[in-house]
Amino acid sequence: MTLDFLSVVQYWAVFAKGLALTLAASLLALAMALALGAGLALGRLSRRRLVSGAALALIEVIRDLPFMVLVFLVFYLLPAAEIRLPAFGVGVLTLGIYESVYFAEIVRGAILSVPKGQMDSARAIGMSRTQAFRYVIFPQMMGYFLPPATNQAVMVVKDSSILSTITVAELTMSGRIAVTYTVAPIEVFLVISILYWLICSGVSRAGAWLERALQPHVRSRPPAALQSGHPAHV
Amino acid sequence: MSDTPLLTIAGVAKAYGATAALRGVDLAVQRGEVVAIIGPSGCGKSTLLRCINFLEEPDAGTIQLDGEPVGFGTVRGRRYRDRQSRIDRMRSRIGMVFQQFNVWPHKTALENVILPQMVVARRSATDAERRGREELDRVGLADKADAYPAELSGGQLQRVAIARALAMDPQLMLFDEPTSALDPELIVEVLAVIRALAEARRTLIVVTHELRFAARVADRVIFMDGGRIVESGPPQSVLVNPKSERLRRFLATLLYDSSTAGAVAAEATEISHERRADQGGTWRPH
Repeated sequence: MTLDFLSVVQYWAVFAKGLALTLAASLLALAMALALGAGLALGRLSRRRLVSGAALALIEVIRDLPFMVLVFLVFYLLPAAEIRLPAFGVGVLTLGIYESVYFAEIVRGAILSVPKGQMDSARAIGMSRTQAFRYVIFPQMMGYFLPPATNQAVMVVKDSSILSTITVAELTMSGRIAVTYTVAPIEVFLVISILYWLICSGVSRAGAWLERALQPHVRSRPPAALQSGHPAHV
Repeated sequence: MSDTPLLTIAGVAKAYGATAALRGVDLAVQRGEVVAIIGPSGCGKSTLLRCINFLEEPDAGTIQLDGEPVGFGTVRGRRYRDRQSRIDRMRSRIGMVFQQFNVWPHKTALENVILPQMVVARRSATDAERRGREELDRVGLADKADAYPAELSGGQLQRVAIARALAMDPQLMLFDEPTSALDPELIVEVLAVIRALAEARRTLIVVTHELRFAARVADRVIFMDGGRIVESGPPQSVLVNPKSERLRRFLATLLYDSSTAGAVAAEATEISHERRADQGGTWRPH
């Protein structure tokens, strides 16, 4: 088997457009999923039964659907309800909602992972609920939030490929278009794979960078005994 | 200063579902008084402390700090919950030290002491830092100002927590088993800090299992069991001559050997008498 990348590369403009749409859809959906997810997480943690019950129900229903089914459902439901949106808009909206339930559980887990005593000491010294969250809980929950959230952000990028099924000309769709020109599906989808890998490893790097930037106290430090030059340990 | 107690607790009760944690507690704490609370686990002593600064909301009863009701007000005989901002302000006047330290791990020792001064007491960054260094120095941690909690021992963490509370100029300090999570050799350094506060005539309520410490430092020892105060009085009467069978049994479990018992008795009878003799100016035990 010989691979002919030259005939593929000449359609770079098709790939570039697909890449741009994948990036745009992923970023918009990610922003939406984070905001919505945070809201759903707070809803689930609410002391009001009605609020936490509604949030839980929404999370359960959406989480139990395959993403492709949800995409088709929304894609056909909106026009039937006289709501006309471009396919790209429908795609971003659906992807954002779908991923938000995963982010909701990640945010909830992160908040619950901060020991209860941290809130106690913040409240006991006179901080309001908001101040305690902002200065004490939030910075600590980021340590529990970022690793799984980075993972989920990668999932957002990969799940966006399913938007090709509703005519969004994102990266996967651009591959299918390129195949019809080049008749070189292996080369085309190798290129597509490399492009996805580039985006996703970029997301992972961004996540790792944020982890380091937001958590100066976790940076590998030698324990106190080593710093004082305890000979037994050196 | 006025004769009214700094803290007045009357008929405070609290239940968690069907379990009663507090069944009507009455207690008055004078300015400069040091009260030690002892009792078996589950006796309600931690719940009582947490009710004093409203971390737990009592089901019934009243708590007054310096004459002001804590957490609840009354209008025409009906109890209502205070505005949250009022409760927050009241809490800033009460320092609390926890068994698990609850120092904030993402902040250095100094930042732990500075943060509440800035966001709650609204002091400037310069004032907060100056005061923060003073308080760390007071607890013997001036050289650990820039260390993160992960680099500190349990005893050092607890002293950071004490410095953090002191920097807020609290009228009252609550200690909830401050040494129970510490290795034996680290307990001493924390108790020394608390003792220095007692000698400076600060008002302290200390929940503790350290009977020698209670005997030496407390003006009054309170024994709680089953959500009630069972015995209350000067260390020598409560720790050395208990009246109730329950307290006798509790003391027997903690003072399992005669040398510990002897040491507690010695602290309670002699040393605390001396202390009262030279510091009896501000407050006298009744």
